[in-house]
Amino acid sequence: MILRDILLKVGGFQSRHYRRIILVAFIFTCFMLISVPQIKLQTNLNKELPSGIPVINKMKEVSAKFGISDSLIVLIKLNPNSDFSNRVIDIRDPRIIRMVGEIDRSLEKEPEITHVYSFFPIYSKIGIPQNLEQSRKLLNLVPELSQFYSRDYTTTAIYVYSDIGSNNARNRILVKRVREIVNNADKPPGVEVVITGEPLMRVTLFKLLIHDAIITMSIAATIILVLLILIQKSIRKGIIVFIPLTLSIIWLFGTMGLLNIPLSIGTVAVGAMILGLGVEYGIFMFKRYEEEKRNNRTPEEILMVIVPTVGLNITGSASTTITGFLALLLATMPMIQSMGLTLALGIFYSYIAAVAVNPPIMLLFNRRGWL
Amino acid sequence: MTIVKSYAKFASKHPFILFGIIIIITFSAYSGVSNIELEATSFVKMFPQNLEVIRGLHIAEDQFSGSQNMFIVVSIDPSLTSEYSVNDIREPEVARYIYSLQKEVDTLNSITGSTSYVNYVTQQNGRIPPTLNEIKLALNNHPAGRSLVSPDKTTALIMLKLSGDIEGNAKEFMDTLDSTVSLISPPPGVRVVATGDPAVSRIFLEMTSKDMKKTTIFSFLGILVVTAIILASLRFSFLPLLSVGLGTFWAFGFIGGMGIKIDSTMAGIVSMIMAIGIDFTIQIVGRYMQEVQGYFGRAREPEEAMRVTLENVILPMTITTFAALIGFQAMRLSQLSFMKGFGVVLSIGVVALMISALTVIPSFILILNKIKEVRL
Repeated sequence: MILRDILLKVGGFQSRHYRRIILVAFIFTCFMLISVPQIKLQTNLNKELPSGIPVINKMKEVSAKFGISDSLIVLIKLNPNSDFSNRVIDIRDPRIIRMVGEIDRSLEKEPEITHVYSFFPIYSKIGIPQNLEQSRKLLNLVPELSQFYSRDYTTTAIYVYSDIGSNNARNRILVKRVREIVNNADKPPGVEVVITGEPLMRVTLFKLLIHDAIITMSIAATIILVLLILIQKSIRKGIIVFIPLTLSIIWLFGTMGLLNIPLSIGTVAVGAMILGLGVEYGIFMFKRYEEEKRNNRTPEEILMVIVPTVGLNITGSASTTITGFLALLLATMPMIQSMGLTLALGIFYSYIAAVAVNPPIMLLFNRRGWL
Repeated sequence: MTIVKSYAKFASKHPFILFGIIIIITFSAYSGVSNIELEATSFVKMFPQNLEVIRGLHIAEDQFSGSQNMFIVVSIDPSLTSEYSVNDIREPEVARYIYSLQKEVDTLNSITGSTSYVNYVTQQNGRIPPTLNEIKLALNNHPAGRSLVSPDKTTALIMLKLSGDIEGNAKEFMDTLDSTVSLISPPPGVRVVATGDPAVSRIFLEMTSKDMKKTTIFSFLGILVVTAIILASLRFSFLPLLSVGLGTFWAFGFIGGMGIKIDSTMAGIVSMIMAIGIDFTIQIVGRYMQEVQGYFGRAREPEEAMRVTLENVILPMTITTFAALIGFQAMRLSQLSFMKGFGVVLSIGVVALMISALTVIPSFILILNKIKEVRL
């Protein structure tokens, strides 16, 4: 069988040049490690929507034309849990009008903000009412004001428009400035301020993606390493199986950085998944290495046996798994496509690390008497 | 190790009993599979619901009737341009059309009201001004009305106020809305599209089922071809697929039985489960073929080859399953809500496929061998 013959030759090559192979893998890993920080974060959820579908295209068009994708809404609402005696009990309270005015004026001065839309310009024309009763009456006389109040008069909204696009840094600056202005405003007791809108969504997603990628991957890595050490009853043996897995993760993220594949809602869990799925190749390889070692073969002979046999099975497993993951590229949702592509890439690297790099590492450990 | 050896001995000696167990599990899974529900999801649902931005969105939707979540887009379409086409979306002809359309959609059960620039220009005396200039003038006094017209005056929005959460009935709602919109012909050169969250939910729902079929078929065929090449045997390449197929069926039986819904983010889940589970079957079939061919010493008889295979692969398979489960369970620590569901479904899938590999492969290989022996 051709593949087995190739793998047999690979085994022979590995037993002769194991040091060189390890050196090449080390250099390649360093190169990939440098590319890891280049990974971009995809926080624009519109890009996760499929293209070519009229309804979705129209939604994206509207979002761009009407500035919805770059707008924030500052909601000022009554806090039902407040127990201050002088708390605001109706959002039409003149104190709220003055607060909105202060926020409106400050927001208008911000360079990132194109325009602010609140009830304040109307009140500034007709005059701010002196008390709640007067405010209620005024609302009946000027119906245009009602669009800024919720039906139950518990909430009012300030719409903040900008043209910052999906640039993460500009989104962060906008959200930070709006939050600062809102926090600095003279807030009467009994009200709370909630900010929403796509720029904040992008900022939040940015934080969540980083948090989730790091947490899921580091927890999976720690538990898997502990598991491997416990199973092998040896720290060194556990590390031998874990090394190629670490390499494949570095190669995967390095490639994502190089090929501009962003960390997105589709790819955020790929690290944890590859750790869980890729470990099996190393386990099969190492188990077989130990099995053959018990048969009193030399390390070189072991490589000549395990690379064509276990290597063949791993080739089969990896290629079918990659095929299955690549099928996800046929999905319409971009997030599923990117998940399929990165998983396939991760499995490919796990396979290369297990078949090409793991046997030379096992040989090196054996020669040094660590195995 | 005793359990592993005992099972290896049992599976190689009693393939027909194993076959019976497979049939029972498959029948039990059937009711669960028929309970599987597809669910449309939105990006908002993927976030933790206690986040400020999400709370704010809900407040904006509840208190201001979903200003951003459902609208009808009335726009000038350059591809429909003719000598009769309108050039400005505020022209009286379009305003009259929007007025009529609003009257129609307002009669729908799920819609409590609608707002467009026309509402503002008719505030003065209840009538639509007869000229474009008068409409412009009327809008000058209403910034809220102006905000419903795009700066280039080619698009106008009719914001719809929905009576409540219609996400579960997004398809029915959108079908009704689309047919209502189609009742009135727009002016020449004008295109009308209803869009927003329910429209996207409907598309997601349709895509989930289509994508699932497409990716599963491609995955199935791709795996079949690759397995046939790797194992250099068509007969042996069907067995892993049979095992994977049954394992996936069991997994979905369990998922359906547990009442877990499959949402749009999981459109590729069958393909993923198959891709992950095929590993187990290839390890067993590959090792079995090597034992039968005597690659590690003497060639063994099928029964003994299967026993030795199972004795050697069960432990690494269990470890790898456990490792995969760690990876998938780690996803449950994610703050992005959809990943938790993803982790659960993948965990069920990997366990089901491991069980199917350890039962289906030995049972079918040994039964097929016995049939072959009887024929000979």
